[in-house]
Amino acid sequence: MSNARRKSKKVNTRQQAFNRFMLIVAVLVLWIGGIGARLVYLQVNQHDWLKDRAENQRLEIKRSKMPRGTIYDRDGRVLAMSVTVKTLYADATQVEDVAAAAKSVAKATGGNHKELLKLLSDGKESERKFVPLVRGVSDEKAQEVNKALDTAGLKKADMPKFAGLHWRDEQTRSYPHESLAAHVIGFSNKDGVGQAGIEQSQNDLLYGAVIKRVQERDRLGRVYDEQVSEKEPPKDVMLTLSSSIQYKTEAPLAKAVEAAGAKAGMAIVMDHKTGEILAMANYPTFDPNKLGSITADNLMNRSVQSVYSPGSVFKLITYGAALEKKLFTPEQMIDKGNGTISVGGRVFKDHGSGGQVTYLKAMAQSSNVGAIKTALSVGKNDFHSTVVKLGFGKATGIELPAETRGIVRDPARWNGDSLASMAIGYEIGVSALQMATAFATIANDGVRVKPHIIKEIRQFDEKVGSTPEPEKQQVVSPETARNMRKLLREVVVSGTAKRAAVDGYSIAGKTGTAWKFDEKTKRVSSAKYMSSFIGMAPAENPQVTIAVIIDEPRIGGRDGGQVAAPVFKEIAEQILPELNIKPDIFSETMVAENDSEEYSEEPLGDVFGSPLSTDETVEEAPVAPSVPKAETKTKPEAATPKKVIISEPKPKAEPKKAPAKEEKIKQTVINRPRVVAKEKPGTEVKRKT
Amino acid sequence: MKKRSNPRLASPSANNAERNSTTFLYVLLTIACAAFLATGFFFAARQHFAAMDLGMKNSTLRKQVEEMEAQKRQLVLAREIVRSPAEMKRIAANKGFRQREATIAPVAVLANAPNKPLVERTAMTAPSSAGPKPVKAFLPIGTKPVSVSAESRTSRKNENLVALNKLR
Repeated sequence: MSNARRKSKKVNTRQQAFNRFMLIVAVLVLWIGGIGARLVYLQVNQHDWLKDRAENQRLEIKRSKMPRGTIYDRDGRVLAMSVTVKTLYADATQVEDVAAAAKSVAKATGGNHKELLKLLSDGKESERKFVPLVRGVSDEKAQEVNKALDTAGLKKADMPKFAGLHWRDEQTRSYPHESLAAHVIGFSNKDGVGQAGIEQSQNDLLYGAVIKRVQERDRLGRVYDEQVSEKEPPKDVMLTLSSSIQYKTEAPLAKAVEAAGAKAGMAIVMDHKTGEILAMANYPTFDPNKLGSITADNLMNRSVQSVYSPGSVFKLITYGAALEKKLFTPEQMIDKGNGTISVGGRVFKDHGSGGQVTYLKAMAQSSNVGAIKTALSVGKNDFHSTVVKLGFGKATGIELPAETRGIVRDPARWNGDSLASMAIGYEIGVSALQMATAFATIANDGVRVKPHIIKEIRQFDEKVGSTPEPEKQQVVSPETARNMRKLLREVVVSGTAKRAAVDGYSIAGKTGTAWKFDEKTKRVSSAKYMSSFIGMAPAENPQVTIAVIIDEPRIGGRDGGQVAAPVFKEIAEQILPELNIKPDIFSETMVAENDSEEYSEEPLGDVFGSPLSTDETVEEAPVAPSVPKAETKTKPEAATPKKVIISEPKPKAEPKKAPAKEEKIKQTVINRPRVVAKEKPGTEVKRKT
Repeated sequence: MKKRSNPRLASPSANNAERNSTTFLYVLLTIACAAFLATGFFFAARQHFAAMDLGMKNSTLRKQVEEMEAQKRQLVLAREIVRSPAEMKRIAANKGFRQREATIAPVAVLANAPNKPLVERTAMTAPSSAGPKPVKAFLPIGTKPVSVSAESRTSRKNENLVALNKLR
């Protein structure tokens, strides 16, 4: 009995344990099943939503821009650099009290409360996540703002500790030397894209790449992992310019342009041995830090983008072509006749008397007749060939945007008087850089080196590339170049460029005074001049070539020797010692000034209208030496007999004159061709074809 | 014949002892496994938080590097701005200096022979030139430019000559 009871009790205990176990198992199964079902539901049905939510909470993708590359001068001085500035912005969806936020931000930043309130309210309405409130804040200022906006007890990973406000890094471009070399450097817009100068031409190298950062954040927003997409960082550009030489070039040029009341001025300093541009100045200029100050007038880099008729400086090419053909030696005599010459029905004259002079003297006096006779002896094709070989009619290839090719017509399209006109620098369009390069070729013993302005490309202070070795080409023989320098030296010693003489240095160069083409009258205007002087120093062994061109000087002298040569002198005086060029003479000034004879240039020997008669279509030339030839042909009364010489009072270098007097002189000059045209209305036209 | 030991036939106390020891072993094993698992979790958690901490430090340092690079750029730029001619002029003007045309006539005359000087006159003294060369200089406000008279020029010229001859 007791055994049976014990047995049933045993059975019951086991059963009870089993039941309990099964109950636990059932609970566990249900629990796990519930969890599993929930998991399946979340993973299958809610997968995308949950994934997005998790990623949004944990991952943050930030795109930032690397700083744009820096532009240095040849000495490593910064000419253009990008720096980081901060922008305070609001995530309007996170801002609860818009009015309070606007008040706090206005107090912290000193901004306008009403404007901030409007920005935030608009942002809140349209649920914008980026509402910029204050831009261009420096680090120091940002720290002050952070302190002012600090909210006690707010848990936020980034600064400022204010709900909904954040900082964002942005780039701003700065030009520490302000207007120095502004035309060469150019500028970039707020998106970091180059708009002019090197900034534009080298934009691909300088452009700050956009980098993508994938940041993983914890629940407090602290970044604990970051993946940065690899992008090639921008490169830095080192120019051949020297900021010191650039300054010493710009200052005298600006002074001269202002003093002469000129429209514009250009100056180029070039190392002819390497083709490096040491300075390229243009006036008027602009400050690239102030984009609002940029206008169409001051933006143009005239040194490479504008075309002009060079006038007498082009006689370098004329005599060069003849010397290359060994048609004369500098000491040989040339007959200027009576000081006039008629070519193709057009009369060209010298300002001085005729007679026999040496070529040295003819060059020194800038004789038009001498140059024309020389060109005629050279011949059309050889002259054109020399012009082309010296780089006219095609872009030099300098690394600056919108360089002009200039205007050189094919000999087949020349008129009867074209050769004569070109011999004295008309019927041709050149840029200041082309002209400087031609002189540099003579300075470099006839070897033309392609001008360039980029010295090397850098990355993280390491040289990663440079411009290839500049093209060199022997254009004229060294002997021709030496003889040319002899002729050019005479111009400074006893000719039209005495004011270019520099104490201690022998200077060789040529002045040019050209009438400009007037768009309104479609003729060259004797009231508008292009005055230039291009020279080299020292004359025997030139180390540097300097070109100075003044566009439309109005006050005082207008000849290249009066306007441009002193600028050359001032530039040379300052930069020659800096370039460690030792003085080679002691009495340059004395020699030049002992010669009491003063020569000035006749801009154009033709008294009967425009020798710039060309039907050339000017594409890029703001100065268009283009006059329809037909105009002269269809107006026989406008032509006059050959030997009419009208003496014109030459404008001399004088201090600032009274405006009325100045106007009078201008009027005289303007009227001259018209007076001649009216002089003998019935005169028969005799034109050579 | 070997006698089999049947556990059922064994005494209850012996059975209990054997069962207790087996259970104890199981408990020990379970505890060991749990401890191992817990240790694993502990180390994994430590690694995880250490990695997160390192990541945060790394991120902070990277940010610092970027900030310092940005600051370096700003300092370089500030240096360039201060060294620029335009800024120098502004600073000079703020310090009370003003730009004016001053007349300075430094005369250097060289001579290798008493009768035949290498340089007789410079551009500054040449009669045909417009006048003495103006030299830009910053002078403190209130300072009058030194005007050099012809006599003092001549005397200075002579002094220079004497000094140069001595040098030779």
